[in-house]
Formats: sequence, C-alpha cells, structure tokens
Amino acid sequence: MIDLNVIKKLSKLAKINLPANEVDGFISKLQSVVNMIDSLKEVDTEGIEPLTSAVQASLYLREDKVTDGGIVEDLFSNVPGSSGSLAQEIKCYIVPKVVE
Amino acid sequence: MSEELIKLKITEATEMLRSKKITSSELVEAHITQIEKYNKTLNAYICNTHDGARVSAKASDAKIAQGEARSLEGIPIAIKDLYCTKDVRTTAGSRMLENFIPPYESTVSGNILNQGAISLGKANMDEFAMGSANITSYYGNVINPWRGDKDEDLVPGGSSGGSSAAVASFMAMAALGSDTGGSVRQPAAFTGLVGVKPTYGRCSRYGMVAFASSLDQAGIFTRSVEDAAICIEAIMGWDMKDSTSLNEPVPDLRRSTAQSVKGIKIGIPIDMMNLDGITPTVLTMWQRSADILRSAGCEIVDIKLPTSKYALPTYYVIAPAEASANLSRYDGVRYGLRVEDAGMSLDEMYIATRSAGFGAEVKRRVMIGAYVLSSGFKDAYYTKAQKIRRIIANEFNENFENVDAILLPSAPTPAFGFNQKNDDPVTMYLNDIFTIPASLAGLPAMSVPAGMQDGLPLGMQIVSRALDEHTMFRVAAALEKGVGMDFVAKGY
Repeated sequence: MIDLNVIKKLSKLAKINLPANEVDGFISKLQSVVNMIDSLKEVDTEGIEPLTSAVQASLYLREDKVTDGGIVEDLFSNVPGSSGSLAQEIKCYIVPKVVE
Repeated sequence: MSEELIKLKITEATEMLRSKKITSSELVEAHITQIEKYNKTLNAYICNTHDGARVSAKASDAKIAQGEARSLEGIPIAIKDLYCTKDVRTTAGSRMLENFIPPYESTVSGNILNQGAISLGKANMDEFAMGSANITSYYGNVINPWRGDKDEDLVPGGSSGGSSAAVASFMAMAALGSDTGGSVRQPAAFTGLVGVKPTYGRCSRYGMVAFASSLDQAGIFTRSVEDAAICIEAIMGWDMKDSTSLNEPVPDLRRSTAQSVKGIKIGIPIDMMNLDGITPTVLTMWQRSADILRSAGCEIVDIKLPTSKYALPTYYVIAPAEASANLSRYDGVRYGLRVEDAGMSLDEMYIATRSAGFGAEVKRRVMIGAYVLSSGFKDAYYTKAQKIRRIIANEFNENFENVDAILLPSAPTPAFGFNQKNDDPVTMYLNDIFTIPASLAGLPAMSVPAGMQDGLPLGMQIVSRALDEHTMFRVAAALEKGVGMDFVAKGY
C-alpha cells in the first residue's frame, strides 16, 4: 500500500522532493504500478536462478596498462553551477561544505 | 528534384551518388529544406547540425569522386539525443542535461559516421528513454507525421519518437534509436517504418546515456528492410569499452535480405492473441502476415510463450531498478544541471538538483526502482523479477529448438492521440506488451510495416535466436515483399 509515509521514504532514498500539490496524484499512479507488479507473486519460481544479464559471455580482460589518461580538461568541461569555472581552473569538483 | 531526393531509399541514393547522378551536398540540402519546412510542427529534432552536415557532404562527395565511398557515404541521418556526440549538445530529452556537451563520441554514432553517414541533428526522445509516446521530453512532444482518417495529432511512439517522426516525414533517410523495452520497434510500427533492435551485446553501449543497462540496445529506423540491413551492419561490432559487448563477427545482412525463406519454420505464439487491448485489425494483420510467409515457403507452427504475459510487470521491476541506480549519477557535481542556494548542504543541493532536473515520469520510475530495491522488498520484487526473466528467456529458447523465428505484432494498436493514455501509467505501459518479452530475453527483434487501421500503419515483429539476425532479415524481407504496400504519410 503506497501512502504518504512510503512516499517520504522513497523521496529520501531517491533524493527527489515532490511538490505538495503533486503528492496525491503521485501516490495513485505509483499504487497503480505496484498493483501491476504485484502480479509477479502468481508465478512459481521455485528452484529458478535469477537472470542478471542476457549476455552469457565471460568478461574480456584487457592488458593491465593505463589507457585513459590525459583527459583532465574533458573531465572538467561540463562542471555546472556558479563554482564551475573555479572547478575548471583548480581541477577539483566543488561541493557545498560538508564538515563544520 | 529536391522532393524526389528525400523520397529515395538509401540503396537508391547510394547508387545515384556513386554513378554521379546526384551529389551528397544536394541530398543533404534537400533534407535541410524539408526540416526547415516541417520540424517546427513535428518537433522531431532537438538540435540541428546543418553546418557540419554541409561540410561533411562535401567531404563525402570528394570520397565518392576518389572511388573511396564507404557503406553509407553521403547519406543524411538523425541521431537520437541519447547518443553522446562529441562537441554536440546531448540532452537525453532531459532538463538535467540541457547544457551537456560530451567531450567524446559514443561508439555506435561514431561507427555510423565512420561509414560516411552525415548527421543532420539530434532527434527528440522521451526523457532518458522512459516513455512509449514521446510525451515526456523536456523539449516538447513529437507529432507523428501520420494523422489517420480522423486527421488529428497523434503520438509517434516512444521513446525514439523524434527518430521515427524524422524518417517518416523524410527529414532523414535513417535514424539511430535505442530500444530498452520496445523503443525502436513500437515507434517504427506507429510511423510505417522498419525498426531493428539486434541481439543484446551486438552494439556497444559506450556513450549511450544509460537507462536500464541489462536491456538497453542500439537500434535503427529506415524505410526498407534492405536499408536497415546496411545501417545495422554499420553500427554492430565488438567494443572493448563495453564489457557486455559481444566479440562476434558482423554478418552480411544485406545478402540475407535477398535469400529465400523456403523451409524456415515460423512460430506464432497463440497464447499472446488473448492479451488485453489488441485491436481486431491487428489480429487480422497477424494472420495475413503468417499467410504471406506461408506462401513464400515458410512453415507456420503454433507455439506458446505462457510466461510472457508476466513480461510487463517483470520489466517494470527490472528497468526502474536499474534506472534508479543509473540515474543516481545526476548529482549536480560533475556535469548536468546544478541547483543550489547559498547555505544549502550537500544533501540539499542533491535534492534540489534532482527535483528540478527530472520530469514526472523519470521521478516515478526512479522512485519505483527505489521501492523494489528497498529493504524488505528486494527479494519479493527485484530478485523475483529476475527469476521470471529467466523463465521467459528459457521459454523462447525451448521454442527455438523447433522454430527459426517468431512472428507477433509490434504493438496492440496503431498510434493514438495525446490525451488518450495519460491518466494511468499502466495503460501507457501496455503498449509494450509485445516488444518487452524479446528485450528481457536479449533476442534480436525487428518491426516491419504490414497493415493499416483507420489510415494508420501497423507493424509486425520478427524475433529470432540470439545472434541470428540473418534469419530475422530473411523473414523480414519476405514479409515486406509480400505485404507489397508503400507506407507514406499523407502530405509529406
């Protein structure tokens, strides 16, 4: 059952706030989806292994050599916000203060 | 002349380019004229790269003159705005990436451009590829060039709706799309195009903005099966930058389209005929398509895919779960939107950024993902869905011991209006009931236009064994030939 408490919990997990006037509509739409996915309970999955990937091939191992260096300008070319140009200059990502 | 040029198939244009009857510059210019005429109404392109296209066309003309033409030399295309394109803004249909200019090129867009194709611009799409109608883009709805007997605005399908509308309105000769649960095949069906999603792993996902990584696969829209074969060959191939990319030789699919289908066994999943919401005309088209293939020499066999009726709920657990993990990268720190006020904490900045940057459907799916992965629910939903995914894949594989391909519709209805399916998200999700099963199993699947309802095109889907695109293209070419209709939207 999706209610306001569930929405608050999901909001926190997903780091997304909903405007107060959208919450009711959101609850009913989410409930509709949950009703649909609840039908999975009807399927007997005893002894079945979960399928995590459609690709069965084993992972390719490349030679242990650095291949992705020298792109420092690229890494900072899209830094957003008012601190973006400073980030590009000092080559550090800038976030709000996390330690008092 | 300009109008004749845009109507050409890639095969025809290629022949005319190489015999110097036309130039790539003329071809590109004709398409730019068409875009200037219709894009304002259809909203298929989010941004244009016309200046670059003109330069590339000259380079292609020089290559052709030197006898060095590549497989798609001089052919103008659209690129779904989900592919990172070097120095060209890539939004994924989201406000979150409104100012994102990738410093690198995705493998798939790089592959098609390296074969001489010329990009006219980035195609509109549902935000982060989440949608079946192209109504969730931050950059506005895309309108289907087909208006039907009622002459009304209709959706072009989604999520690759800009790509489908661009090719169907002759604003591009082909378009890159991407298909997670049907996002190439369903819009292809809604716009009278051929739409192909190869085997999962055939195309590299490097540089594709991620939605649900275990399902996302590149795809292509064209106006003929042979054109699709040329394009899909260009984008497939192993890439060490994607660990799920398959190291398998790329088949000669253009040759497949010329081969007989005599003796090929086609399965019809009869238990899927009872699924909710299929129109009688779609059922008739299904029957007629089977008859066409039988006349061409195929053997038609009834099969069953009993667990595929659970494909939709399975998908709507797995895809949102993967999306919630993938979209956690949008935090306002390294790229994308950042929303902050003085005095905000780090957490408040994250929340403000994500709340402003994502649209309603994306928020809903990210939160569904958080729900099915949350403590106490993960086994009941996520792990359970992964188990059912295996059962669905196993049922396909068991059937493929007896049949070579499976034939089913691409969508249960033709294109619909903008207000028809908005109230309940599940009504919208039902559009994908026929496309999702093959996505979950990672199988190659393609849509071929095969019928009409109320003045609108309908598509049939062909699914084949993993890595057997060869058989899929043989069957698709036979169906296209047997249907024998031109699918051209009125007025274009």
